[in-house]
Amino acid sequence: MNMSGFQQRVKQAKAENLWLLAGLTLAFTPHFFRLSPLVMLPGIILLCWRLLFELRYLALPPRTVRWLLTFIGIFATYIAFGTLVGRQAGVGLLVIMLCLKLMEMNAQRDVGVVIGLGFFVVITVFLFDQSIFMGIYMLLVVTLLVTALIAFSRDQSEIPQWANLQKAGAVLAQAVPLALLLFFLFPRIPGPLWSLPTDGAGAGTGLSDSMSPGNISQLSDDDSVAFRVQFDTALPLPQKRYWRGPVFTQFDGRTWSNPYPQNLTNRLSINSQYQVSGEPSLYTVTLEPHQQRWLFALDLPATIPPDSRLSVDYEIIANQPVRQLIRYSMRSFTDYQLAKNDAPDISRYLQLPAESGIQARKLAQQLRQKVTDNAAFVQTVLNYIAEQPFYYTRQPPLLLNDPVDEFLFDSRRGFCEHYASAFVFLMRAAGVPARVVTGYQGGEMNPQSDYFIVRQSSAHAWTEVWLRDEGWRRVDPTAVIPTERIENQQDLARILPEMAGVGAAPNWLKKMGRQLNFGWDRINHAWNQWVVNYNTQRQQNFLSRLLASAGFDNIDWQEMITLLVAGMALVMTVVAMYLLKPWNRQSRDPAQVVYERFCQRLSRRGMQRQPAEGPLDFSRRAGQRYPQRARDISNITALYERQRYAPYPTQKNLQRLQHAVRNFIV
Amino acid sequence: MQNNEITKQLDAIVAHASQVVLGKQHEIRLALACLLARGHLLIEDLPGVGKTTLAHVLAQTLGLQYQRIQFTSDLLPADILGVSIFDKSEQGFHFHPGPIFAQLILADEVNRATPKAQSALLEAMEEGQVTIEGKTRPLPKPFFVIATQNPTYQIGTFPLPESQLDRFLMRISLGYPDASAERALLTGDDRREMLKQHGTCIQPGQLEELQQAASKVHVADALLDYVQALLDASRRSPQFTHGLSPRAGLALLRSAKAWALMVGRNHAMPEDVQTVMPHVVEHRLQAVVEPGRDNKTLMALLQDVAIP
Repeated sequence: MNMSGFQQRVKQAKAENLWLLAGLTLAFTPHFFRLSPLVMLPGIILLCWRLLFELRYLALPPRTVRWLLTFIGIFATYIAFGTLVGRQAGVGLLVIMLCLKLMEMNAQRDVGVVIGLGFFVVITVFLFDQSIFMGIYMLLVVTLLVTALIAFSRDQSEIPQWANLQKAGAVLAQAVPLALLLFFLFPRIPGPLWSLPTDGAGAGTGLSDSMSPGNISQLSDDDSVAFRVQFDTALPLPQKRYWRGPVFTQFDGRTWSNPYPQNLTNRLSINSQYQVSGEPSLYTVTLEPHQQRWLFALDLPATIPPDSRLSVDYEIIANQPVRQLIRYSMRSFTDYQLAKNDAPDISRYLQLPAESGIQARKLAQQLRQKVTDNAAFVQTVLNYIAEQPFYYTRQPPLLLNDPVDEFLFDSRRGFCEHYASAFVFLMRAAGVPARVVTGYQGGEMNPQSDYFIVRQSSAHAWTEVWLRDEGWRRVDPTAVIPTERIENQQDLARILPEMAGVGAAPNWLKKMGRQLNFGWDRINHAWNQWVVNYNTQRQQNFLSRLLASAGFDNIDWQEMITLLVAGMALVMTVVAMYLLKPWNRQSRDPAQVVYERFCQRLSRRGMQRQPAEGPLDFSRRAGQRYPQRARDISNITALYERQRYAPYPTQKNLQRLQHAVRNFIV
Repeated sequence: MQNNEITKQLDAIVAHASQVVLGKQHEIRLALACLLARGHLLIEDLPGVGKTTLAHVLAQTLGLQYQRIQFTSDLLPADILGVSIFDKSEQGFHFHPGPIFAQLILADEVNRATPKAQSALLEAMEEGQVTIEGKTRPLPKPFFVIATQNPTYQIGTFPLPESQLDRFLMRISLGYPDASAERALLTGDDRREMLKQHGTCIQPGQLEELQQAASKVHVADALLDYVQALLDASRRSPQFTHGLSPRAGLALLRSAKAWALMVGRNHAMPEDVQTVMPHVVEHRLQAVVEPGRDNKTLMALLQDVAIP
């Protein structure tokens, strides 16, 4: 290809269309990767087609082909998503149709429509991802689209394209104050603006609604954030940092599960045996979306967040799956007694599968017979785990036939889920009510800020055992494994809360990495607090705090609207002052005022004076057009010239000018 | 001198010169305005369109002492300024003034010389004096330079740098004559002969008076507003690499005043500014887009800026 020829083509292409194509391509990119290749492929082909058309290598398809393409597009969307409505399918259809619109974008109007829809695509991207990166990226896309809009509305002629880009930047920068005002002051509607239709099971990270320890051979080390916590009271002790999540009571020999509990309650105290002591911990959790319904809280929660209820196992279950970032305030007592002297629904916590764990049952009976009471039995089993060669590993062997027996007597290698599962099995086999609790254990303070981070890598499974005199007691069988039997020293912190920070190599690079990580997390946290999760509640709090001194107390939406309008008016006034600079304007020359009236009179007859046309030139032109009036026109012009440009203008001359203009009739 | 007398006289000069340089009234007027504004003139055009003749006829008409320097690539500063030569009879150095010591210099094909020779001329233009061998010698008054320049795409040219182009008040080009002028030229007498017979139009010292009159032309606030708006627009416009300098603004105003005098007014009008603007400004501005198009962008600038 001849390079200069190519450049020529680029130069001759319509600039606004090139900007638009660039903007659309970037706007589609996140969708392309998220949605099906059935959307991505035709999308890319159509974008390229349009680009080649702009460079005059290709023609646009004829009408029949366009119809065909449209049907294929709809069909492809249907194949890809199985439907045409819903979030993913809807966006997919929008992308395809917008790409197809490029095939018939001929008239000016079409360009305007496509640019407008481009902005809409930008909005749809935020239905999937509201991260700070996406925000910045979409700002770039919006800049390109605005540039396209500017190039589109400006005369195509001489303006270099970077000037359009610069203009777009300036326009966006000017919009910032208004955007901020709208963001902070526009009344938020409680709850999500519209309920997003679900697209089947969204793949969420984090805990799941069942646990099958034998099926996992590799525990992933996912450092993403599960939730962040801001403590209003002192941090709980490390050994008390158990964040309660799903509780499993049912075991089929391979999988622990707990179908979503039926009898939820919004009464805190399910039974009377709920005793707490010590000071409560007060904190606010900002939970990342995980597509499930559990909310996490320190053991033992003492409040129930709004829109959620409590199960008999003290799980907090939200009414809706957590599909977007949510915040809730919590109160927990880390010192508690639950269901003391009050037998729980025994059968539920003694259930065991009929066929499996024959050896384990025998072992349980043996150990139980050695001791007198259940509490001693718990200790015996813990001792058994501690003394027998059990190893902690994150790469356990698969347990194929009978996970419990294979683990206890054969492999003896596993992580928390294996131990919790085996422990509860042994308890139940000896008639002690027990359940598996999953959730998160530990977490770390962000040293650069004032909040606590709990990551997915802190996911944990432990057990609870019911003892008559004590109620439910938390037992963490993983914690009794001696440190020398932990394969990877870095897992120490994972298992023993007290050991947090030990074992990690004191490596400056790692330290710096951690610092960066914390810094980045802090930015993310602020983004979540102030942008993504700026909801009704937070808006209220923020504005009330901000305006408390101004006498506003508990601001309502009418006041917000008033403030919004007032703020916009203020911004616009400042902008207008800046643009018009009234303090710079001298009092207008009366001669000029009169002359302008004269020009207006002529312009009403279609004789328009160009802004850059001098009075003499205009007089000549007007005189040619109205020969009968030529004398008056040149007379007025001469008076004006004398008044405005000649030395020593006089009041008398001005009066003559005014008089002449007053009597002037076209 | 009264206003109408001045006008009459200027018209006479123009008419006189037009007899030799045919069909170029507007250009002659511009050149004359440039001299009235005490500025140096740059004429840029192809060889053979009458650049030299124009310079020559102006000198003759105005009764100025005239010297022509043909610039070549081997021209040395001493060839322009003069040298001291040892005189045996007087047993000392005797200064032989160069061609620069004249009232009207025609620097022909100034861009054929090396930058060194060019700068000798251009310094003299700026200072009104020359320094040779440590001694400063004043140049005669009035002192004009009319430089001619071949288009820079021609072979063997050293384009003048921007800073030196700035020294010229105006740049004009002549272009081909129209058909009737060309016919008259072809059928008429030899131009050289005509030049020889050509007399002067004004008395010695009158030129100084005319220049005085040009500098006294009134400039109203309204016109200053307009000039400032133009300067401002040139600085804001993305079409130019940089805007007009304050010196360019002064040049614009001076030229507009001289032009006003030419058309018989004692105050300058926006039309005057618009007439001289392309000639004053074009060689000082660099258009971003493409060379050769600057006139168009300049016109666009003139059309965009409203007259306040």
